[in-house]
Amino acid sequence: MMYIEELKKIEKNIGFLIQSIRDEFTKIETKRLISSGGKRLRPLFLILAAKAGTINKKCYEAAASLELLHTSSLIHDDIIDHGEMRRGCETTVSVYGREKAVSVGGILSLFAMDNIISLGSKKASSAMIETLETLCLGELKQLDERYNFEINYYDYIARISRKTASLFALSCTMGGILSGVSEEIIEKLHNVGFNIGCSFQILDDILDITSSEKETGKICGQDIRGGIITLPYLLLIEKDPCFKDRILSITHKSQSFEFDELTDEVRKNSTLEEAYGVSNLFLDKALKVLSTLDCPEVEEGFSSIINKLYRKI
Amino acid sequence: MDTKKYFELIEKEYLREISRISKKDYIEEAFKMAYLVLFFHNSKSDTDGRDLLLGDLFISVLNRHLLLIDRELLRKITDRIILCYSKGITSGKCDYKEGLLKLLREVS
Repeated sequence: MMYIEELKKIEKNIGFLIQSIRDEFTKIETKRLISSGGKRLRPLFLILAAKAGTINKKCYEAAASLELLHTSSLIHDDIIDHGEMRRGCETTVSVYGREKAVSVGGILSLFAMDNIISLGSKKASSAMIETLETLCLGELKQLDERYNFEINYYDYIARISRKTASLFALSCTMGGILSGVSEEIIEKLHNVGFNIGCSFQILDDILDITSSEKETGKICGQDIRGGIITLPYLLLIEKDPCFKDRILSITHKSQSFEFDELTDEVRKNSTLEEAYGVSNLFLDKALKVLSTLDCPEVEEGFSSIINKLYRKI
Repeated sequence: MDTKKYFELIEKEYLREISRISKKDYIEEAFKMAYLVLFFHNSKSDTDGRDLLLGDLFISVLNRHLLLIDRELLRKITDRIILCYSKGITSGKCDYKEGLLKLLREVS
């Protein structure tokens, strides 16, 4: 596996950072969640992007803080989605209840933000704050759009941009800022993260339709059950007016089998392949930007991740 | 500072203490944001997660507000909010109003 050294250092820094959380309960709970797994993609993106400049201690500290910020958002996501399991482990809300989960997520978020601000880069701090605002506003908009199935492709892309791609873009932007590269390179790194982030979310949305509960720990078709329409459903709506009528008749009161039927139909349809195609398009864009960076180490690092995300159609 | 506003926000019994405090506008704004973070995160009627997200949003808004003008105040407020959460975790109930009053005295 690649990036063994980078991931080891990231893990070490996350460990150090957790040790300095003053609230004992939050410290223990964060350790439990972090040790349950995760790919550490966000911190890894920061480090890979930082290879465009000079990697330093601050890059790894920021990378660890980003992982804690991500963990904090997962804790709160699980409250909203009533998630019971994540990465094969019980969620904070399911073990300790809502109030404690809100507090642990809150502490972790404030702690991680404070750590990033303490690094002394106003530019990196501003980028982080702006992204977190975008993320929250995106989540709020998603709540407003629940069971509104009349959204289009552009609404969907705007949603995943705010919800997922923004944090991947932030990782790359921060890597660029903290390693001291030019504005032009930072912008390019931002685009790389953004495009991979969009692809990542599309693949995650497909996985919600194709995977078994055993694989992901989540119930299949959870998005549509929660009133969230994703790309494969949107593509089928465009093609099949009957499917559109059926999906528009769905409400939060609909029966479980009605959701299952819709998910089954998408699963059997070629729209999944088309959705993979859209994901690949975002990866193509990321590769194109990478090729203009004139930095083989960064290109090689991200290309290897991109190649794993590509799907044959 | 409009003490009445905070009187409405933080209940009547604290009025006398709050009314003695005066401060610049940005501090007042920051205090208001800290209040909103805890208010939304302690909502008892949050059926769909909207209040939780609003609390999260105000954490960012607070950080943006103070990042460039008063890092010291940001740290104090951050520490105080964290303390409120910690007390809530330990005791099972969060009296964040008392915590906010302490903060108000601290920054005035």
